[in-house]
Amino acid sequence: MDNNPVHQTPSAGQARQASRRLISTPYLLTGPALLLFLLIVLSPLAMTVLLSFHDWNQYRGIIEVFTTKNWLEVIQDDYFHEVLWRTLRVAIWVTLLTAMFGAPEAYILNRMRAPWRGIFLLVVLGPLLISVVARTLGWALLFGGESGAVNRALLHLGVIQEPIAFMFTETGMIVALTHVLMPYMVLSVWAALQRVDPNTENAAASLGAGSLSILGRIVFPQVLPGILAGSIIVFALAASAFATPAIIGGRRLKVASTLAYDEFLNSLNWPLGAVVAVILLVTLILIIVLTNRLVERRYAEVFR
Amino acid sequence: MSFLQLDRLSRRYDGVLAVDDLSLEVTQGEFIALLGPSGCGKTTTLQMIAGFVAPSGGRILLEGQDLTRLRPAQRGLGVVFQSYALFPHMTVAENVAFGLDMQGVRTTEQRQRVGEVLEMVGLSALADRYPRRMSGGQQQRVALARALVIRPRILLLDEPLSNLDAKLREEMQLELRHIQRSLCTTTLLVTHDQSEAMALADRIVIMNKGRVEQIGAPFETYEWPATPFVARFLGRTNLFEARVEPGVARVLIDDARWPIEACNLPDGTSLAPGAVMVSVRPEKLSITPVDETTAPTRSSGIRATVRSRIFQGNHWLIELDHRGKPVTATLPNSGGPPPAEGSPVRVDWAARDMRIRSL
Repeated sequence: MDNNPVHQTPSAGQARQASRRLISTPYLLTGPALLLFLLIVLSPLAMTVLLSFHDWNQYRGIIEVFTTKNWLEVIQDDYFHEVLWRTLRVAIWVTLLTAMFGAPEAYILNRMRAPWRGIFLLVVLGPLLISVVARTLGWALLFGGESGAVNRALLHLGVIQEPIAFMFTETGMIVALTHVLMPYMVLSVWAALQRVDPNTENAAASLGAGSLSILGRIVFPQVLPGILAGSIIVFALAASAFATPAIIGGRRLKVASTLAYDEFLNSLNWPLGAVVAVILLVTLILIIVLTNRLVERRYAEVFR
Repeated sequence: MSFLQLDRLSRRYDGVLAVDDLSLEVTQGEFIALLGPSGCGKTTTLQMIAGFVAPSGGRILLEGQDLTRLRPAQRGLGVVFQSYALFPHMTVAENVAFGLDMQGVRTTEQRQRVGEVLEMVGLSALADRYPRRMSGGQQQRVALARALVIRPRILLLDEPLSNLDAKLREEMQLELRHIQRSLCTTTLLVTHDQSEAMALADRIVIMNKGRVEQIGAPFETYEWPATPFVARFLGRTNLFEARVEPGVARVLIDDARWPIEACNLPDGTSLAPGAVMVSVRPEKLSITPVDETTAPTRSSGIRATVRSRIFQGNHWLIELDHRGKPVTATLPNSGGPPPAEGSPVRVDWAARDMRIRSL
């Protein structure tokens, strides 16, 4: 910027006006979409928050008064703690597992030759074309009690004495969710790998690095932002997943989303369901925003 | 015995020979340029030496040791890539230190050697920068420093300057040449830019379609191209259909004659009378305006017409028309303008400047 006012020409004022117009242009352009967003996303959310402070009674339904009763109930009752912790635990495990398997999978896919690469990418992404419900029911067919195909086969072969417990277990939920959400991790790491110059691996090799050093010190750090981005997506989807926990966990093993669903539709206690929903939402937003900020601060210097 | 020896090296991709029976001997400290159009196999050759691509046949010997089956990490060669291939998650100093780290060099020595090599490429002040925050020229220097710090037995450069703008490229050429001379590191440069190859290399290997066309010093390959491909690829040339007169050692174009000298022919060859092809470089042609009023004098070259003249600063580029065929001449900008467009001229050259090839 020119510090000397003497040098300002008459056109400087015009330029400032033009730049002000330029600054306002994006707001005008995004205005309609912003209004729509406010209307259909934020207003229901606001209403849900309001709802969580209403009272509820088995005979009179929702009573429009202000009360913190529902919040206190959720905060004080161990049952709700257990469900919320389980949600978090499942989401963390699913995130770790997808990262552990998805990142190497993406790397191997990326190294494949022409026809196989496309074919296996389709195999990885294919499940996205099938409904989550169908994919989860697949697991139920394989491991569902004594009648599940895998369980029956293993029982008959004498490998196991009792059917592997899968349905209504946290492990089952984690396994099924990991399977369902794997494509998101693979895609995210895949995208990061596309930005890696393959010659960096050659360069490291020529400098004397073995395959392990190349993977650990050259490839992994370069795709780490992709793994973290994928983790954020998988974590959010796992923590808020409904269909898979509903089928595998059923009524016995609830997570936040199935709990909220039951409060809304079975108990008809909408205010209590709203509390659970709001807690889930706020927790997710906090975790995601903080992680994202961490990632950005760490890698802004390296990956512009 | 030669320092580096490529012995009948070849590489096949899906049945196509990318490198075909390439043999080359390099002495220690020599600067070799592999020059050719894209797809001629020069980069594949470099990658086979580096160990990134396995040869389909042949051997690579370095100081008598067979490298052919060694992994890249075991070869101890420095490589500079066209894309530089810097590690984006490491600072300049970390990038350069990586190779030393892999060799297990102690931290104090690492720091000292990294400092030295960064000093040499003039990047001491930027040691803590990340590569993505640097200009192309600076990244290029980091790549060079990273390859040199491990004191490689051979330095391999894969089109290292092709991503730089013209002015920077010239500067880097001088610097590269200077560094190579002072370290005396045997260097192989892959390039498609003939002027770069000539400016840098002690010897040029000109490749085409996977085969070596000619190996020689820059001046030698330019002045005595072994094949028509080399003549065309290294600068421009003009080809004239000519005849060798029987009985006399003279070549005849139109009504003009030039005596045949030993230097006109490839070593150890002779010419039979009959039709031949004469090749003359554009800068060897001299042009004199024809004065239509006086009678034409004999033996003062061939007649042509100026088709266009283009001013290029230090020289003029002149397109001539000789019997319907284009002839290119370059004249140094030494004073007055050359003959006007459309004017008749005589084109002549010294007998020693032409190269004769039998058809």
